[in-house]
Formats: sequence, structure tokens, C-alpha cells
Amino acid sequence: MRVAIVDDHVLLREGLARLLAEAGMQVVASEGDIDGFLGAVGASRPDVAIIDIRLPPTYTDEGLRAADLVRERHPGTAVLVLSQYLDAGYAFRLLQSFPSGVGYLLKDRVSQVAVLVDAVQRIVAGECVVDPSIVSRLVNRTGLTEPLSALTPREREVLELMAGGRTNTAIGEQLFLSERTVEGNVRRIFDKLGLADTPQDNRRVLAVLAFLRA
Amino acid sequence: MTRLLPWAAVAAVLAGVTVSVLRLRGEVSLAGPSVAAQVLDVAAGAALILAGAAAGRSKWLLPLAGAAWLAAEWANPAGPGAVLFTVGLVAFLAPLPLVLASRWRQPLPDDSPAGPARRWQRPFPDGAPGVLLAAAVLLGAVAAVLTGPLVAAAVSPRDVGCTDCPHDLIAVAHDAALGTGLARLGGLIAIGAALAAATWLAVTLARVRTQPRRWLTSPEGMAGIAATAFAVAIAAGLGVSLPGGPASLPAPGWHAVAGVMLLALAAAVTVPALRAAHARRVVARVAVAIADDPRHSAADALAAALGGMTVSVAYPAPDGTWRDRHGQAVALAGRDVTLVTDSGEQVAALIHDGPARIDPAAITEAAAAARLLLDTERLEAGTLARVNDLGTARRLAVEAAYAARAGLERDLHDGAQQRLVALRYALGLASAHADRLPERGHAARLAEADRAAELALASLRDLAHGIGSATLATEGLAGAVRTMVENSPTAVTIVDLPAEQLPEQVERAVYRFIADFLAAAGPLPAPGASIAVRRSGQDVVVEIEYGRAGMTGDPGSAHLADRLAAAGGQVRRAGLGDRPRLIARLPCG
Repeated sequence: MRVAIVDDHVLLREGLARLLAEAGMQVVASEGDIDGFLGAVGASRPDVAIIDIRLPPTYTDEGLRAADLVRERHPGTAVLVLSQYLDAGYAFRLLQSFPSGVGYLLKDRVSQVAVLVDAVQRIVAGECVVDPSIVSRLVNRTGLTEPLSALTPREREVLELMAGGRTNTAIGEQLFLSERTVEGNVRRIFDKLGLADTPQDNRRVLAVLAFLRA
Repeated sequence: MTRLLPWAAVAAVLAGVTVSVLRLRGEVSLAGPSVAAQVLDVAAGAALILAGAAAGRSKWLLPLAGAAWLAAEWANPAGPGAVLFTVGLVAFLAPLPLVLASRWRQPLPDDSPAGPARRWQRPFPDGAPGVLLAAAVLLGAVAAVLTGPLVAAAVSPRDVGCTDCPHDLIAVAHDAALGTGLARLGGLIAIGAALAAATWLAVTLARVRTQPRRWLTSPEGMAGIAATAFAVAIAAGLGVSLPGGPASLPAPGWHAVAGVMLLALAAAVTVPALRAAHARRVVARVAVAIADDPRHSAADALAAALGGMTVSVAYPAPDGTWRDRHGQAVALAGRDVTLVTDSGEQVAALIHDGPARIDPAAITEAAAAARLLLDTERLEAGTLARVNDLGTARRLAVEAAYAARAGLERDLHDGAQQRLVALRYALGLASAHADRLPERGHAARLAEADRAAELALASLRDLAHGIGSATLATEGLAGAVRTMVENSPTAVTIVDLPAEQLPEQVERAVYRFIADFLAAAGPLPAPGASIAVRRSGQDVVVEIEYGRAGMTGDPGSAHLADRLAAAGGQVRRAGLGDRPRLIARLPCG
């Protein structure tokens, strides 16, 4: 697995590179600014680009725009955006442009090698990944609106994993359920929330996120 | 003007009598045989009567002088009867002291809007000018008595060969030598009066030497010159004829000069009267403008009064700047400005388009009439200026607080947060290595350390989020509020958020308002709480409905209102009871 990194903090770049090496991945580019990074990605065509959302010059959402550029120019390169913000809005924006092969994770989420490897493998496989903290905050908000409170605890668990980008198979594995049971849960969730079911499509992450944020 | 009609009638009657006398035997007129000189002669007398009446105060002096001037012509051999003839003889030199006495003070019109209180403000000429003028008047009066009634008493013209002259009714002595002597003495004294008057003028000029030209061209100066020149012309006329016959008739040329001087005097005393009349009209227009609409601004009232001229008014603020009536600073430099002063104190500045064609006296009177309005607006301007300054200071303070918050958030993000993330990366790497070691204790201890770092990072993230509004710049108000609510422990429904972008200052104020509310609302669930942000005309309205039961803090606290006020907005509570609400309104234009 070939990886390119962009982060303006050299400490984090190095730390992340070492984690990736530990996970058996090959860091082909490690840059501190967008221009150098885009050039390196164009030259080395990595499997994954890991982008810090807050980059110079304005330190606002340059990372998101760099992610869009990479997905647009190099469809073969998956993008993982790392952020300090528990912000569903950013995740939503990222998925809205390219609903597959992208991920939005909290920066320190990937300090566990297993999590890092899992996320990278999933987005390279064309899935999308949304940080569980963000999804959990959305789903477990106090004073939930009508349709959400009608979900059973099990359905809520399934919804949370679905919003995090998991496939039915992955959800089944995680919750020790058969894929058929998961499908049934998903169908009931969509019915209760009044959403059009688009199973096995990454667009359903977007639909669920949009519903949760409304 | 109607009050002048009786005076005009008097002047017409006296002038008519004089003209009829002159028509009988014009060749023996004091003005000489020239018809033009006679016309001038009569006009001067009539004008002096009218001007004196128009000038108002001391109104008997100049009209009397004019009447005497005309009456002197009645001592004509063809005079219409002994009475008028005698009056003419008596009045011979009466204008001299009367004209000089009228210079004792420049009379102010009685009905000047300045009011009777000012009547005595102009001091009697003191010191040398006072003494000299008094001497001139006194000498003139003595000369007038000597050459007029005394000569007429001493000798009748009939005694000295004027056989067709009417009777001199007061002639008692019939002594020609006495008459000539008295006339010569009177002539000499009249010359003394003229010299005293000329000296008075010179001394007065020396007194006002700082601005002699201004005094000379002022109505008062003109009248003083005319009166003095009149006295000199009379004296010169007498002096020239002194060695001559007992009739002691002045030379016609000098008489004409004296007549011209009387016309000049009449004009000089009329000018202030006309000005006063104009000022009265201006004042009346101010009064009408204010009465029409009590909410009139002083500028409008003055503009209406000063003939539609576009005027704006500035007021001196206590801090030395000039402010309009809304308290905004006004620059006077380089503009056409007329300062309105009262007793040396600057009350207001009228700023007009182009150089003023306004009579300064009219402005003063108009400003006096609008004084109450001007004073009110000046006080308001001073207060508003302070309010504006406070508003600016408050806005700057809030801006500075925002900047400080943003800086703090950036520092947290770029400093502590990044280092903690790096720490977690290092711990992650270490635990990956530890997993390959035979002893399992290391991995557990590393996981414990990582858990501590994770918690530190989480609380730091919440702290940074509470301080800053990093999402506001990237996601706009709607996105930032949504994110804030999603991350808040308070359960709130978002009812409405504006889709369009609002001015940065407004977005920040609305964002902080909601953030402060959420912070005050506390972590307890407050069922039914909702937030709505809507455009309402030029304003943005934030309506927060909250279930009072769940509140731990006071959502309507003072600093909330303060922050809104800094953006020009305000907050009020509504629906106290079952559905308490906070409603904030901010201008958004």
C-alpha cells in the first residue's frame, strides 16, 4: 500500500509516517503544503492520500479542497481527511463531492495501528469512513426528534455503523448478526425515517448523515 | 410700515408748504435760485423726517431736524403769512444741534427682536468723544438760539429793507445792529460747533483705530460722517457769509452740501431699520417653520427662514469637536461656515452651499429665534456624541475580544492539541511494538497512558470549540450553528437558519449569542427548546424558545445583551410563563 501525507506540522507528519510504516505501508510522499503535495501525488500516484484539514495559507478548509482535487484528478487514489474538529459538516461536505473512497477521521483516531489499517483498507476498497465520534454524537443527541426516537436500540446501533460508512457485511460482523438480519434492520430503519433505501451504495451514508443533521 | 404713514403725511404737508413757498419766490431760497438745488433741499428735509421715524428711537430728533430744515425756507419774503414766516426765522439753524444730538447714540429700532432690554446696552460715548459731542451739540444749540429766535426778536427783516416780507411776530427790539451782532456771534459759535463735531469724529475714529475702515463703512460711522459734514457745511456757509449783510444768509453752495449730507444721514439711519425689518421677517419665518412642525430640525427651520438656502447645522461638542444633531462628527474645514455666537460663546455653526449671501445680523436674529431649538439639538448632539463614542469603544472592545478568542483557539489548536496528537501517535507506535513483546503488561500500561492522552485531547477539543468559532469561517452561520448544536449537550431543535451569507459582524454576534445561550442552558435536557434565525426586513431576528424547567443558568444575562448591543442589536424576553423566549434583533443592512 503506497501512501502520501500532507500536514504542516512536521512532528505529526513524522509520527504518522512511522505509524504507517509500522502498519506495513509505504510512505511515498510527505509534504507540508498543498502545492508540493499535489505535485507529489501526481508523480507517485499513491493508493491513499492522507490530508490534514487545516493547512496553510488560511488554515480553514484547504484540506477539504485538496481532497476534492485529488479525487478529481486521480480517481485511483483514495483520500483520508484528518481533522481536529468533531464536525459533521466537514464530513458531509467531503462525502457530498465524492461519496466513495473517502474518509473523515479525527486526527488522533489513527494512532491505533489497527484502526488506521482498517480505515485505509476500507477507503481503498471504495467504501467511505466517517469518524464514529461524530456519528455517535449525531445519533445520541439528547431530545431526539420523532422518527429517531422510534428506533429500537439495535436499530440505532445499525444506524450508527451505517452512518460511519460500514457495509451490511461489516455491520453484521461487528454486531455478530447475519447479513440477512442486518438487511432487515436497515430496511426498517429506512422505513421509520422515511428515507429511500439505497442498499450497498455509499450514497446511503450521505442520506443518513443528511437526515441526522436536518 | 403702516406706522410710518402719519410721519409720511407730516413730511408731505411740510414739504408741500415749502414747495408752495419756493414756487412763489424761489430766487430767494436758501438753496439759491437753482431748481435742482431746491428739489434737493426739500427732499433732504422730507427724507430726514421719514428716516428718523423709521429708525424708531430718539424719533423726535431727526424728524424735528428735517422739519426745521424745511421750515427755514419759510422765512421767504413771499412766505404764506406772518406765522410761518416767523417760524422760518426761528428754525433757521435748528437742524444743526438736532442733527448733532442724534449722533449721541445710533438709535436702535424700538421693536427690534433683540428686545427693549438691549436698548441701553450701547453706552453713551464716554471720555473725550462724549465731551466733544456734548460741546458740539451745546454750541450748536446756542448758535441756533442766537441766529434763530434771538435774531428774530432783535430785528425784523422789515426793519432792514425787506418791505414785502411778512411780519416778524416776535420782533421786539427792531435793532438792526443787535441783529447783525447776534447773527455774527451765532455764526462764530456754529463754526465752533462744527469744529467740535469734526474733532469728535476724529477722536472717535482714533478710538476705533483697530478697525477704522469697518466703523467708517458701518451705518453708525456713515451717519457720524454725514452729521459732521453737515455741521461743517453749515458752518462753512455761515463763515463765508459772515462779512456780508445782516441777513447773514449762508452761501447756497454750502447749503446744498449740507442738504446732501442730510440725505446721506437719512440713508445711514435707515439701513439698520431695514436690516431689523429683514431680521424680523426671518424670525417670523423661523417661528412659522417651527410652528408648522414641532419636530423640525433647527437646520430645516433656519433653511426655510434664510430663503431656501441649504443649511446644515453643527454644534460644538464638549470635547472640542463639531457634531451634527445625531452626534456624528462634522468637519468644518474647507466649507462655507457661518458661526452663530451668543455673548461670545459659539452656539452653532451653519454650514451652507457657497458663500453666505445672508446678512450676519439676520443670521444672529434667526439663531436667536431658533435658540431653544438650537440649544436642544446641541445638548442632544453632545449626548449622542458620547453615546456614539461609547458605542465605538464597546464595538472595539468586542472586536478585540473576538480577535483574542480566535488567537487563543489557534494557539490551542496549533500548540497543545498537535503535541497531544503526536503523543498519541508515539503511544500507538509503542503499543504496536509492545504487542510483539512476550510480556503483556507493557501493552496494558501503554493503553492506559493513551487513554489519558485521548481524554486530554477530547477536553482540549471541547475547550477550543467553546472558545473559537473556526467553523463560522468555513461553513457559514447555518453550518456553524448546526455543528455547535450537534456538539452541545443541550437538546435543541433548529427551526430555521438563513441560507444566505450575512455580514461577518452579524454572523459572529448571532453565533456567540446562541453559544452563550447554550452555555447558560447547561447540560440538562430542556425539552421543547428551539432556535430560529430569520431575516426580517433589514434585520436578523434570533428567537430562542426554552423550557424554563431545564435551565441551570440565566439565558438572558447582561453580557449577552452587551455583545448584541455592540453589533447594534438588542435582546428582549417574551412569552414569560409556559413558553419563555429570548428574541434578539440585529440590524443587517
